[in-house]
Amino acid sequence: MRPRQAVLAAMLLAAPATAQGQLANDPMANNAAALAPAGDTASQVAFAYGDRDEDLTISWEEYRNRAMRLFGHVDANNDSILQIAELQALGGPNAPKPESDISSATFNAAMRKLFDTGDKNKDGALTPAEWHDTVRPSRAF
Amino acid sequence: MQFIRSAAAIVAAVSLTAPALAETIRCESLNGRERYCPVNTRGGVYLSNQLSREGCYQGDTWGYDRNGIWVSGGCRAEFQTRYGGSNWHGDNSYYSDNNNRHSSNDGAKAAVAIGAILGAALIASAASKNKQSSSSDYQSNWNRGCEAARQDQRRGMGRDYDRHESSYDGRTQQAFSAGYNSCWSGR
Repeated sequence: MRPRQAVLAAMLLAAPATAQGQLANDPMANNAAALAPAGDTASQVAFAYGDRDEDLTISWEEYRNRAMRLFGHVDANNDSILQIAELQALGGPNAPKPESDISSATFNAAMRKLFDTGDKNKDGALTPAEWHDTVRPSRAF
Repeated sequence: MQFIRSAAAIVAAVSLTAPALAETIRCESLNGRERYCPVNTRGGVYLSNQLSREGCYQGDTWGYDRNGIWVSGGCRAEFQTRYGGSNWHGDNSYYSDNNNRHSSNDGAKAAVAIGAILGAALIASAASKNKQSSSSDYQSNWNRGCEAARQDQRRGMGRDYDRHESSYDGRTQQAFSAGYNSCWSGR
């Protein structure tokens, strides 16, 4: 996987993973798990977040919107560029210092490539299994 | 005469296969207001670069008619039009070109650094596992999400819990979105 795709893979999982801890005690937990029959808990929750129409696949439109949602969380000043300071704020004091910004255009292009790479059967949508392989950071780094 | 006919046929063929004129137009819904951007959409429209964190869903928060593109609900994006109507939806070359055009400031080295930063953020979020909400908290946020969905439906708005982002945070997002989606679907 190329570096830029690795960035996106990490982003796609980062925010949904915040819910992982909650899942164990949540009365709705079984719903999320049932929606995504493949993958571990974190990727299942992430899948449930992304699958807007609940058809058990992540379309390109759903994927793009989920990823841009995360982009927006990081882009604190809303200038459509992930700047060094914003990336530092996301990573915290112990994270390595970033060397340059990343534009929304690059982000859009890279996530499309990541989506197409993950869509193994080329049907235009990610199954839970394809999603899992796409978003897991263990695959990205 | 035969020559003239052949020449005419060639001219006709060339005019039919001439390179289509693509145009990129930025259309933005600001403060949630609907906006109409006049443009020739005869050959179709493709969302090429989403700019907003608010959802851009075709037929819901963006679409087009013969005379232009409309956006709503905070959707901001760049759209590509193409006159001539050739098949271009599955053409990934656009993304390659787009990527190359903008990649000068986003080198692979920087991308790796960003990935590491996001990895750190992932670890930090995992460390917050102990800050679990109680069942009553969950139910409360679920109910608020449910009410938000009903409110959106009453207002004739599209399904997008993200527009209520001020009503939840990272800790309560799951409950809120679950309530929103369940009640939107009538479950």
